Amino acid sequence: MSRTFNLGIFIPPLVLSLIGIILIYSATYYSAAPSEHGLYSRQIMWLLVGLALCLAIYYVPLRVHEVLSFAYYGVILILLGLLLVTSGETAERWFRLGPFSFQPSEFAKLAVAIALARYLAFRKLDYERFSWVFVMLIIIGIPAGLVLVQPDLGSSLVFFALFFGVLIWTGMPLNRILLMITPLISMLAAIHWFSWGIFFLLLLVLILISRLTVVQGFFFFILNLGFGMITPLLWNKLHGYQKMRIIIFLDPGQDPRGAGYQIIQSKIAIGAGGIFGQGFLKGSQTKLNFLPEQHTDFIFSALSEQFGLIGGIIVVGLFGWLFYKGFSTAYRARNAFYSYIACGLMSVLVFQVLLNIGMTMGLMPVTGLPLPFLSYGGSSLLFFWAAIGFLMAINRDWQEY
Amino acid sequence: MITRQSINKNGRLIIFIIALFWLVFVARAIQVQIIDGAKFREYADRQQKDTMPLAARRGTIYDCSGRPLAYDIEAKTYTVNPRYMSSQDSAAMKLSKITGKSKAYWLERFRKRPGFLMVARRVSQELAYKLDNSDIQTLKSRGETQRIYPYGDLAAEVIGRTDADNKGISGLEKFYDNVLAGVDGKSIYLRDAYGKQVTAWEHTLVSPVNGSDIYLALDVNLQEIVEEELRAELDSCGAKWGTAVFMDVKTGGVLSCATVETNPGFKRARAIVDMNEPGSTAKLIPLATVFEENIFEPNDIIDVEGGSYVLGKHVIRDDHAHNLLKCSEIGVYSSNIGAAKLGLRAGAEHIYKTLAQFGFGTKTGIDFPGETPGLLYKPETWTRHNLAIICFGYGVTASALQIVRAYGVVATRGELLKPYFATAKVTADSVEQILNSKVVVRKVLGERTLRILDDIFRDVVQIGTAKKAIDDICIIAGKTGTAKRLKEGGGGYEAGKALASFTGYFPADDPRVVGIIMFDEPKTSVYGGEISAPVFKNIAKRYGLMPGNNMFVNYRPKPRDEKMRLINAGGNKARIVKLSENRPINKVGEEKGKQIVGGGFHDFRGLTVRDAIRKAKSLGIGCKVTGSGRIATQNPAAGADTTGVAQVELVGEMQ
Repeated sequence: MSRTFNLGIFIPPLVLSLIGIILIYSATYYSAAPSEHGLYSRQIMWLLVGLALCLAIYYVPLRVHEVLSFAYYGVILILLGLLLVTSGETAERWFRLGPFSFQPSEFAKLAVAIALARYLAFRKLDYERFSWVFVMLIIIGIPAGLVLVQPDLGSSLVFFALFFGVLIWTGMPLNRILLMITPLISMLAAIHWFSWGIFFLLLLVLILISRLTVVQGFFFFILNLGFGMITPLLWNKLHGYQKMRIIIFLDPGQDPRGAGYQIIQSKIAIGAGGIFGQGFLKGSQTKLNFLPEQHTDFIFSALSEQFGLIGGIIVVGLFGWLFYKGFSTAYRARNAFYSYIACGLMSVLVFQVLLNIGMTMGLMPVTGLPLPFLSYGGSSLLFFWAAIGFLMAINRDWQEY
Repeated sequence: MITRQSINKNGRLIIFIIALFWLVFVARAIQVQIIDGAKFREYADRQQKDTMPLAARRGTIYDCSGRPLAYDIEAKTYTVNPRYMSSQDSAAMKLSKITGKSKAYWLERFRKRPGFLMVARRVSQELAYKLDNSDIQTLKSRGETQRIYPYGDLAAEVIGRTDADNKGISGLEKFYDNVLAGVDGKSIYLRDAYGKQVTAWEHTLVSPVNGSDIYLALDVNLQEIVEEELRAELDSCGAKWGTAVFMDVKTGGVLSCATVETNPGFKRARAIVDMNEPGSTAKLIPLATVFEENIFEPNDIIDVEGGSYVLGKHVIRDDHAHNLLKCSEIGVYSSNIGAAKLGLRAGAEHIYKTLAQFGFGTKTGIDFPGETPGLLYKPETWTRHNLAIICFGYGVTASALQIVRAYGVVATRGELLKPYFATAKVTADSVEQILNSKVVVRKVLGERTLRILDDIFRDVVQIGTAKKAIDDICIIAGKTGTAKRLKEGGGGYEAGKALASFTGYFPADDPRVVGIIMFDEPKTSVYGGEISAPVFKNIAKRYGLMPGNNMFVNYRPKPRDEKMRLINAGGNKARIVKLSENRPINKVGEEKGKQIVGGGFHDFRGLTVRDAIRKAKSLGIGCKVTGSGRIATQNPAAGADTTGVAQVELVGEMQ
């Protein structure tokens, strides 16, 4: 058993975290609120805690998590439930502990990834049946639902990214995976009767070629019908800002002073950076506070403005390197539990990176998800460093069965 | 434990999807940062940078000794951009606290001007301090200037005023606007997302050029005295308005120009822009003409017809009837008949020439907006009557300033000066440039004539119509004027309504200041000698006694050397001059012009029956009187055409 500390997994997130600290420093340097000026030092502290957590996880045998997996899950459900109960009428995403606040939804991702891996690793997966998929959905759905009602749409989407990442990793045939996505497509298609009709024609074709049983086929048909019909109801239940985000995602130029403002300002910041950037602390969009949420959600824009296309490609490259290392770890691991954990955590990482960078470039909706390792935020940084700890441990123990 | 199954195939899918996204991202980054980079940089510039005007300081207006009459102070103007406010409510609340206007008022204004709202223009220091220390979102200030007039209303109509944009709209502010006004500059500055200016970064694109300062000949000391004395007399005599203008005899600079009004409201510099019939002050003209042309000697005696002189269809009257007067006494006692006779003898062309030489009918060219030349018809159009009345100041109009300038000829011993307000300008970079200095428009009259006139004008004060201007140490020379006012809607002149004036210069031995005092329709008396002459004396004395002026310091009262006088009271070589009634007034002919003004039929009203009969007899008209007491009505009416009228019907009434 090789016991080498894999620097290939450790170095990219460390460099990204350090870049993050520099960017937080620059993004809060000109901030109007004096309280924000010290945020970079808090991020350094969080990084140290994160590194400690990473090493702790690295040195704890993975078998321990196998045993405790459902206990983690239970604890996180209780925490999420507590948050819902204690927050009362005003929605809360954090537990406040003295000067620090702690976001249970970040750790829910970890618990769900471990619980999901535990469930799939000890079960024979029959691709002809869907029952285990529904168990997966339940494992994911409960915490996702609790996060959604906080309300935190972005974080709840992360759980579904985790679900689909792991589902693909199980080896389920793609047409069946596609069949499972159909209810979501039905929801989108239901905006118009015509599109919904075409969708159902294609659905019938998919059901037929998937060689489902009659019960299964009928079930998916009803499911799609139901999801399509609740779309208008669900739309009306969405919060105003959530609706706006979807509308503005489709056409950000529609409201340059209001909801689309963030995307436009972000694009201006990135565009103004050019190839080499305006230089450290010299980004005018950042400096003059035109860039919103510049030390959290839009930190990639602050990076691009100051360090240009070159800086952006370096960060994107570091993420790419980490993705490659993470997925190859998952691929290489012989133990299914390890492999599913690695895949689940990587799914979360990839989803957040894609969504966040896509958002700053105006390619993805504004979900409010932070950029892993770079955005300011203790809970997020701890989660991702914990994930790195797991990946390194799995990479170390890849030969174990 | 179950090992993994067919992840190979699906794992590649995951890698493919990620790689695809990565390619899209890089493509997008290249598009945004390189292909469209310039466009986004321009967007950034447009929202981050803004220009604002840098206000240029308007020049200061100083009086003759450097006291500022009008100057600019810095005053900030505040604006907000309601659209960028995160909370209009809190901004409105803060504004309402500072300004005292209601919160609803500000919210309404935010709604009406969502993009740009001027909160307060040219605010006081106190308000500026409050606004600077408020944290109202998007509040932005820019430096502007505000005009300050430290002497308040003093000489306000002369200095003039500026409008909201600090552009001169009246008086000297208007006339010298292009000198006083600077050129605004422009600066570029950074603003943050809340529209607030980032003060650390500002560049001047175009520097403002401050306006030039102007120095006036005006003397605040005299101006204060003049306005005070005018106001006091206006209040006591009940005139509609009073005006005065004083000119420096040595230079032509206007030392003071003032107007007081009974009705409050907009004041204009009446002394410059108002044209009036001058009345008796115009007797200067026939007197100057006859002596200059050697038509008469000062001691020649003129028959002044016992106070009533029929000229064609018109009657000329003297308020103080005399039978015989020396030429000089015509001036001293202000005889209309005498002046008319001198004029008729001299002829229209000579009179017109003198008028023109003294500057009547032409603008003085003073540096002030709104001057008009005054009314002066060509002599070819004059009738004998026109000529006669012009000689005592009717049928021509002139501004007070024109009259002062004409009297300045005597004060300066022969120079017609160009009056002016501004002496010099000093540009923002301290380059001094003379705007006006002494300009002698022309030399007028010979030395002898001037001495005769000077003697006459001294006698006016000492023994004539302006005895109220006598003073022990302040010797004034001048001439009274009492110009009857035309009735509203025509029909001759109105009894009891006159423009009372006194024009003169002082100290008489070495004239330094020439000026005029004019009151319109005083109620206590209509005579310039009663109303205006004492005011002139008060002003002259107060001003002359001011430290630094020293006008009377070396004065020792001494009897005048009678041998030096060209006129004397003795009249030893007097000759009575008969005027030919048929003498043509000009070469073209007579009685051809239209009658502009005239005495018309005599006004008998108010006379006792006995006096009325005597008067009618003296006019050569028969009369038929009914009733007793004082005359109440008459036929023909007063002022009516007298052609062919042989008899007048008078109705007396006991009061």
